[in-house]
Amino acid sequence: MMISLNHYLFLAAFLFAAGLALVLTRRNVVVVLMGIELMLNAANLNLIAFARYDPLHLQGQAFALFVMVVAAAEAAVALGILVQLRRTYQTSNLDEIKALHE
Amino acid sequence: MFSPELIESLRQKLSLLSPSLVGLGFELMLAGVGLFLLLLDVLLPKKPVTFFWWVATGGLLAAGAVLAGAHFYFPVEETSYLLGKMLRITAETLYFKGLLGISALLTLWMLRGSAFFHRLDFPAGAFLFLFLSNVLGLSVLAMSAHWLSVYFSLELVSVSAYLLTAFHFEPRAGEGSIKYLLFGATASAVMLYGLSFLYGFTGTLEIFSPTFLQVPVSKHPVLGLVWVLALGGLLFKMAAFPFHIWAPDVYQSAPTPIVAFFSVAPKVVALWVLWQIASFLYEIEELRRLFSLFWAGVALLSIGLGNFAALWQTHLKRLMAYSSIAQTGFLLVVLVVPSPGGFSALLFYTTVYALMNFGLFWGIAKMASPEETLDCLAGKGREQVLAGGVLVLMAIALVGLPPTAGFTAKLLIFSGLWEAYQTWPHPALLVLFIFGLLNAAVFAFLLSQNSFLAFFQRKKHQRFAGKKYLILTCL
Repeated sequence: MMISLNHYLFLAAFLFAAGLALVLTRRNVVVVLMGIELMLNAANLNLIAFARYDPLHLQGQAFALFVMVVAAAEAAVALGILVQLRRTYQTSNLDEIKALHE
Repeated sequence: MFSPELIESLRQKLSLLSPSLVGLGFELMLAGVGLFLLLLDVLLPKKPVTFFWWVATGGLLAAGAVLAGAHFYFPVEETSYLLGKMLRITAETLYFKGLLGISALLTLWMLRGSAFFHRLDFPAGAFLFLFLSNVLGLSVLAMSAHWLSVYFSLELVSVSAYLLTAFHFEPRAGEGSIKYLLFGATASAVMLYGLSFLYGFTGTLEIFSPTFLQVPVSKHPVLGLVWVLALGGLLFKMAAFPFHIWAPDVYQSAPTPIVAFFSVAPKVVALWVLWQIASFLYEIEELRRLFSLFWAGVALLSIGLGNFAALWQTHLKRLMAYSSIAQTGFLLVVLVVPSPGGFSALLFYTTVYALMNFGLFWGIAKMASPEETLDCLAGKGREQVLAGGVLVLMAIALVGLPPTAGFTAKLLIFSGLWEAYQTWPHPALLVLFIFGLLNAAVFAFLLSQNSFLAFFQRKKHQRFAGKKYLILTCL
């Protein structure tokens, strides 16, 4: 069986939906970060699949590399903040972090 | 290992890049000063905070001088491209970068007066480094002509903003910061997913590439949705509906000078980028109709939600957050009709808005006690006449009442919208027009009833009841 562009797009759509579901339903900061990572990878997969049809080539692939680097930086910042949060609240559950008043 | 052709092609690429460096003087200066500050922070940890402050301010002023020089280097009428087609410079871009530089200077000036900045163990070098990276990211964003540079500069702005929110080490600051981060990262993932489809439809990531206009929307109805997803990252930075949820928590937990900066600079720069995209897309009639309605809807919901949520707030900075969401709505009205007249309205409104907001936050920083509730302003106006006066004046201007420039700005925007309605009588535009005016009028009425009477009666208690309403109306 040939693997066509559609296969990549469906896989990416599934990854994106799964990531979004994690972000919306889970309350643990680390799990939410994992969901975001899935969403970013869905976009990356799309970019690379489409780059095959790019007349100039590589634009999508180069973009995907940048996305990975930025995602790593963002995760580092998130974990740093989380360490500080755990010192204050003794938890990483988003529902229990609510000292700011509504 | 390296073929001569490869080396030759690399050399050619480098020679293409080097002329761009002149146009990037402002950014290079900012990056240099930021890294220098970080180095100083490690090498001279014992130096007082004011030392780092002077280095940052001096660096920013020097970068501003370079930016002013760019006005002479780049011809006013032409569009110059930098780094391939990543960035582009027009006279308007230079103007917005100037506005950004002024906002940054005002923020630094406010920082010098704030208590948290002068605490003994405060890591001023790192803090100012993060602040300058934020300015750098916004400056690159203002020039972006490629989705990669939009994404990259947005992330630079976002990551430094997450850290700036948490950086004054209040116990609760981390909460606002983590919520900001999780929401921001989700918004940027959504934006990327939209971008990947735009890339798939057109085969290019350049924003102003004509191929974007050749894909017919009527044949691919999903393209409209894809555009909306792709613009989500910019809407998030502007705190526009439905990407506004982070604003109250972040405004409450971040230090006041930084909040003042967040409420001005990212909004103005993101609006400028959206303006460029809108006026580019509006060349196609089909896309124009679609996007006019989209912007009208976002503006309407932002104004309505911001105004009505603001009524229930008791915390000063949460109130400002909702009021700034409503202001975003008013700014977005400009995008409904990108005409040359609309552009002058945009320039005028953004400039006035930046100055008004800094004035207001300066008054708040001067007068509010650490808990920053609305009631804590009571009695302060008598003690600090100047700050109280500025606060009242800026609030009047933000509402858009006649003697101030805020009135002229709102007038320009709504007269532009009215003209658009006459050329294209769509009910959505009329609804936006009436609703926007009503929102302004309702709160102007509240203001005149409560604030001015109380102001002239000079009863302490009543005056501050009035002031509460006055701040409520900063919409």
